[in-house]
Amino acid sequence: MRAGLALYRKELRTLWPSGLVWTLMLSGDLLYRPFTERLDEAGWPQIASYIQPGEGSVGGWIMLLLTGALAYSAFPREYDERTIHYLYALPIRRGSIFAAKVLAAMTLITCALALLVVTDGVQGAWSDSSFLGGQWRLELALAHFALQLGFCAIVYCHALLASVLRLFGVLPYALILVVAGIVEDVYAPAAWIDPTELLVARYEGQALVVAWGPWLAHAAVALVALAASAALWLGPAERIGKGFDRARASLLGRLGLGCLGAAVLASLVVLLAVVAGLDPGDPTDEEPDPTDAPSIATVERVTDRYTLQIPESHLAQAASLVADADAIHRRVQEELGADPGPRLVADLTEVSGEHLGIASWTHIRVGLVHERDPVQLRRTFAHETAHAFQHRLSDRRQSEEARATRFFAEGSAEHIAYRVVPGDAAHRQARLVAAAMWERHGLGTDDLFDGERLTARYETTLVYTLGERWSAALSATCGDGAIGDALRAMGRAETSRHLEGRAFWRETLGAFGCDVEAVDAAFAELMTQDAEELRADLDRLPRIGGGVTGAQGGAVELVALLDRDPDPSWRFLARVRADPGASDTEVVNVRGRRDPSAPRRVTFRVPRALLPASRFQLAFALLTEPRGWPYAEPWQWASAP
Amino acid sequence: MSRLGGLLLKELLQHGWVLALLGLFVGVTQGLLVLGSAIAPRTITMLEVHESFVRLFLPLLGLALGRRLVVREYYAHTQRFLAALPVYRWEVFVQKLGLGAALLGLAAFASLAVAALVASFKEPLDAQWLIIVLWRTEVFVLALWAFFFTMGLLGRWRVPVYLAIAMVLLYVNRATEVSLSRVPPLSLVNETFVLERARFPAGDLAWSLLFVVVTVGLGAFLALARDGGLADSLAQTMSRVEKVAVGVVLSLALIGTSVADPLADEPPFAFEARRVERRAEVGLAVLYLEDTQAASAAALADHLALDLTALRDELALHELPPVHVALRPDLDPHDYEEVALEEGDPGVLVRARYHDEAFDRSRFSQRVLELAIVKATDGRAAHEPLAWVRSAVAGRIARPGTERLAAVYAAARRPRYEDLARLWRTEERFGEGVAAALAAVAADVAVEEASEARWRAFARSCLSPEPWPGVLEAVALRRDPVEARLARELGVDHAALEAAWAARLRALRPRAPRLPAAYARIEEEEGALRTVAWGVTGATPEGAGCALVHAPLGPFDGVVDPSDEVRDERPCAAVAGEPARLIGRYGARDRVLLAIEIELDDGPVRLLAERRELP
Repeated sequence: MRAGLALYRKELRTLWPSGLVWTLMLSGDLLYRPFTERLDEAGWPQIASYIQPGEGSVGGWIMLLLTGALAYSAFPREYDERTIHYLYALPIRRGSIFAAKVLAAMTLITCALALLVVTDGVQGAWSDSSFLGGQWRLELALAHFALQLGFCAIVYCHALLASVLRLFGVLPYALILVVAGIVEDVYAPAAWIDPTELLVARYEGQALVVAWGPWLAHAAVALVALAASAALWLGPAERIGKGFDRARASLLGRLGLGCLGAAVLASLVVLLAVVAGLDPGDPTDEEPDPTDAPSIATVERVTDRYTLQIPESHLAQAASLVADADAIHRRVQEELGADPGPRLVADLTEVSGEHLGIASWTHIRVGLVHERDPVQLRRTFAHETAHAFQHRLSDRRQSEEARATRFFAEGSAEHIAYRVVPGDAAHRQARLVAAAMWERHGLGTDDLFDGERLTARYETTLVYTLGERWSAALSATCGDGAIGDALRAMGRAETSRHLEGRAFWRETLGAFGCDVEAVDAAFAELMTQDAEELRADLDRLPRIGGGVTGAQGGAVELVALLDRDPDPSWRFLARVRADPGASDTEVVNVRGRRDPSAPRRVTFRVPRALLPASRFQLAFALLTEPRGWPYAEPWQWASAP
Repeated sequence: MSRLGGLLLKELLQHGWVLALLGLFVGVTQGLLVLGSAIAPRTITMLEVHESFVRLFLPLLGLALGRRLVVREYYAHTQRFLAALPVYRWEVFVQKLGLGAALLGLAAFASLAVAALVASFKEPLDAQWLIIVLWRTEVFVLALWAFFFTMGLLGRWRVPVYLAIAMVLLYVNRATEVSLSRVPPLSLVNETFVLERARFPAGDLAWSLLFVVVTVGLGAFLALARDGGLADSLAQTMSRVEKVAVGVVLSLALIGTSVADPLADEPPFAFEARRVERRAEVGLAVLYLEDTQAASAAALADHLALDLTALRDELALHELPPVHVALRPDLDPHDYEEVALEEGDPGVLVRARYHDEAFDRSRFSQRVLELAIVKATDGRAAHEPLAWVRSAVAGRIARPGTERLAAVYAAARRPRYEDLARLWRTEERFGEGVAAALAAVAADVAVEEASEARWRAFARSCLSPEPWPGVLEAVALRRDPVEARLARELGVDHAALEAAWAARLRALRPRAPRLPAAYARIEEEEGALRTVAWGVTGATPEGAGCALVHAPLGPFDGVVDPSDEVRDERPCAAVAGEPARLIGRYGARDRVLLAIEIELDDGPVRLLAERRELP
């Protein structure tokens, strides 16, 4: 026991430089914040930003790196410097050596995190203003402290295991994180695989919500990793290594190892295939017609401006588009006042329940297979072609400044698409939902300039509909070529980086003598005019309110109540996501069922497997046209019972 | 067997199993990335498999391989055995450099081959495209390996140097005009990496190869200098003092780069349009949209210029912040939109429907003056203890008719100084107009109790335009609060001011408009569904509008940003009988601000405001 304590003290002494780094990294703000900020103007939540709803993962990454470094300094250093032999020579069990190292590291982490609680509490106590002051709560501070400590313990276990393979040990974990990212894209509820998600703060009222399921799963895996690392570092690994060497020495052994490796590889591939099979799809989609399935074989068609890849099975459906492709390209080019640029790759094999098309640099993908409306197909084609022009004209600045420009990217592409492929009904429907949300949600022009803020609060497709109207206002205020001029202004070498929304647009439009305030004013007037022109239809759209009413079987039940009778043909959706930071692909749509006896009541059943977290966001939406843009209420929080 | 061949064989024997595992890892990674890209909703080309591998896994492989081939040799001092062999040092250097480059190059080539094979089933690949991608890949591999190889020769200093380089790159990318994705060799693997099919990036490739040459040259110097003694000495174990020094220096550098902001000098906001009415002497610009609005803009500019000049004299400001007013025809004439400009911008921007007949220039001027004071004091005047002084100074200059609004407050509760000192709560409870009116009345009373000059001295002591370091300002206000300044500069303590102010407000009570009472009731529906039933009781002014203003609060309190507030507007008469209902917007246990406003000629007044956690 005494020897173990002595070893523990020795480990603590060894780790004190790391302790200093931890202290500086976590509590170093104490050194500069008092001089750069007025402490009495910020409360505890502003100082300890990781306690704010939705925050915590950035701090998680910092702790992950610090904890990883701490674990890597435990055994690898002893082995590299060959001091491990001195330790093994001591009259102490190897298990005690392992325990002393783990306990010393956890002591250091505990002290550093406890200091963080104190320094943040002290800095947050300066404010005595009526709302910001006096918000420090011991139980909440301790809860966050416990979560951070638990997170660091989990990371430490894994890092200890990874350190067996030194830097190569990072590779499997990097792979797991990449795969987790892909899986999350396809199946949002799997986001918890990313351990930093454990630290993302969620609240119900003022109470912190802890996701016990993911915590238990991560803790169990971490314990396995700890046990494995103990086995590998404390001796069994040596025996395993020697056995491995012996196995490699014989042909049979090499064969066995090869088979084992192949089996591991095959298992991983099968696992991912199974995960891919879990894709919940879009519950709102109609059952796909099996005859719609595109053939694997494709046919290539080359025109002046495109190389088109078409499923052989849908060649006839594509024929008119192929014939018109160059004309569409020319029209988009004229709208933007651009040169034709390089030939584009147009992949028409796209099949997606999430979008009609996507584009990047010289590639566009358009969903031909499920598009039965030839006009809409041409419009989507024009839209994606416009994106390809945008990337080139702005020299990729538009995508680099996506937060400020997303509404313009989608909106101007949509505006050009409507001009190239007119369609009054579709355009009218888009204007209707834009005007309805603009008027009812009290949106302002500054909401558009911050894409993250816009999608955090409102329907994400607003960037298309409102962006289209803003682009129309830009053209009306600054001339027909203003969209192209704006893109070229973004691509200038002298364009500033890091400008936020309004400043970015002021500089961009100012480069060709256009004033963003004048455009905004014209846009606001345009929205008012649209609302008046479409008043009759706008007033028919119901306001939708609702929430979680219970759970049945494996599903959570939501009920939406309408304030006026809806048209029988309209469809209602509940859109569900983890938090305001979720991407468009992570939003799950669930179609509602109308109650024939109560036309103003819509019921939704959301399978628990599709819920991204026990505390989640939902927004009720309404589709007046099956392929149109949705009218949606703002996002709101809800809890699964 | 040649000497180089012998050395190569030694490396393969020594690291063979690691290389085999690496091969397996590359295979597994490729398989997973192919599957992942196939199911990912936004894959534009299957060559993105290669992109992911090169951007993420290749650097990690290079890092690990550099440690295995270089660092480990020096740490274990086994390079001394190599030095004892009949081979030149440069041969060992070249052999390790070549082996690593070949292995990484092979892994990258395999990645491209797999990705291209998969892509060929459904994408029109052509030779030119693949050659461009291959060139970009292999030159990037060379640059990557040259970097990691050379870094490995830095021995115990390599980790601090890695961290320092990462810190510098992050800082450059975050805080300067340089975009790393456009700088070779990183530009080789930017967004166009697997999408550019026509343009051969000769310039980027040339610069990247130059980077390779320079980095390898540095590596050769480290490896060969002093007969290998330099690298040998660099590979010694780091002492504890060195560790502490490195940790502290890097941590402080990280803090420094977090605080430093070299982009603070962005050009200030200015209207670009030609239709602008300017008053250069006070830095004022009023934007109008059509020539017919020019007269309104000129009238407003004249009005504001006078008030801004008075403000400059009142607070003894050397310079006023630039004030920009934009016309917004879609706004209500009683509403203004205050726009947050870039951090560090010296000016203020407000939008208003100033050409409307119902527009109140004095009320607008008061708000503009308040914003100008906040800007002039570097935001300090927005701090709650100083807020009423700021509002009072602006109110005394702009002189909007505020008596009726102040009377609303007087009719609702017993006046308390605390309602001035805690102006944010008063604003939330009664509305901004009422709070501003209370401050203006307090200023009038203070002038009567003391004098115009003493009031000015008090205002200047509170709203100093010279900002101090944050900590000193906070300490100064703690040691010398507004109440102490009242007593010192005005000669009136806050209790006396409260008494005189309350008397004035009581005298105003008869002028208070008759307002209805308001209620907001939470009705529990099924499950977590909740409905807010709201309305007014009692007589309502004819034609007046009422509104439920609501906003989610989250777990922590703070001033609710007006842009977070949602208004549900109804004629007051419509909610005087049956309540209006807000169904399901908030659920059980949500925290929410519920306020009910009535629109008067003087502006909106809040009849009720509560922060509630729904049952």
